[in-house]
Amino acid sequence: MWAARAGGRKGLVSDSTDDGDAVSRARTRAEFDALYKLHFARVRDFIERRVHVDDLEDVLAEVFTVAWRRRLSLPSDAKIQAAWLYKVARFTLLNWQRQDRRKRDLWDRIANEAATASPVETTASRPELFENALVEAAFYSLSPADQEIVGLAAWEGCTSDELALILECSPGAARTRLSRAHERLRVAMLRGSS
Amino acid sequence: MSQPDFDAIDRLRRHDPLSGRAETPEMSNEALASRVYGRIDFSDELTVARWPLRRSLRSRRAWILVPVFILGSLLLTAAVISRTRHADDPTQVACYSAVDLSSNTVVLPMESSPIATCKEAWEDPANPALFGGVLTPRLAACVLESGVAAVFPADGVDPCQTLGLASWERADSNADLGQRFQANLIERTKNKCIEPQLFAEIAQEELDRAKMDDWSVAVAPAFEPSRICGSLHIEWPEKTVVVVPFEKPDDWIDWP
Repeated sequence: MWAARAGGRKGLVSDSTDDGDAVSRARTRAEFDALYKLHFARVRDFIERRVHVDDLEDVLAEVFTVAWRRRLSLPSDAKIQAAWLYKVARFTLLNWQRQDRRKRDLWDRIANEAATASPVETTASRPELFENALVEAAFYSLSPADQEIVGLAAWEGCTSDELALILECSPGAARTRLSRAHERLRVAMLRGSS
Repeated sequence: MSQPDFDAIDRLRRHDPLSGRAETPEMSNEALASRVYGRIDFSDELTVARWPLRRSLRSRRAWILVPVFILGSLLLTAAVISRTRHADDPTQVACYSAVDLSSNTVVLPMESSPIATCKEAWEDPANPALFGGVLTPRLAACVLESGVAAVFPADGVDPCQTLGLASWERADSNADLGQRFQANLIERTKNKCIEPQLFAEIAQEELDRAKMDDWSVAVAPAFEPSRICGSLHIEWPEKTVVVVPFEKPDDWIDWP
């Protein structure tokens, strides 16, 4: 019964700068279209890093449908909008993965391709492949929560304030979680290279 | 034993899974954005067909336009004189960080009252960027032009008067009626996969039972064949119950 509720429980920060009526502004298709044009590429990258390319279009359509339905809580500041969309994308992705067990993530695909693409080459002759496998193994050895937060920091370039918004925690908690996950990633990389 | 010093996040960043992405015309951002846009479900925008059980007011609009205009003018005058108003939309509230319509804003689902809802936002440690992490001031509730309740800090000022807005007053009996209708309908339909047309009939029954004669029911089109269950969406300002088709969750039962 999602539709009986308007907006998310927590709501989202808006840093209004123009006419000030965030509520009426977020209701229009024109506002949504502007959001779509501005952030499509960013959201596409976020999704593409986490699902198989065959599912990319389906998941994107779902993410932007959810964003449309939650438009009442759409923030007006472009930078916060991106974090808001990552948050919407994150929830959509979790639902998507729960609903369809067949979905494989991109790391699976990379692992398969790495295993089948160049059977005669060894990692010793391709240092970058070795580095890639090492980084991949270290990343994959982390818990899903750690993978999520270091992925957001590394690839989406999220700050601790943005991580707090996406992961629904305080900026202080986001900083602590990132710091711990960062250290675990570092230890995993060291272990892999020793 | 000392460990080599390096930035693991930076190393991960250099191994972005997208670095090997193949750039084809079909998968260009423009082409993909165009295809995806065509698949976004905008069905809760009020362009949906009206439910045929109840005759649309549209054909009678011309006949009622003049009296409605006169009545509206009288109500507006009354609102200006009384400086109070109930929110057209009882489901949400906008919390502002200052007595300024361009200040930081958060929109929340309405709980017991606008002030109680926004007080929670002020006290939420996750929102320091919104309210600057300061102590919660005295708050006052107004109603925006759009009919949505809005809460502002009120230390030493009357924000409604300052901004030229009406003060918020508790929802009238019609709005209470609407909330009771919503609760009854949710009670009858929760966790059941009800075919959208049947859902609309049940919604109409509940409207009739609540004597909400000026409300109508609309069924949004299903963009995917798999969207077989109806869900409830209420457009308060339009007095319309929109039945939105969606996919059946695993734990819902077929009904009847």
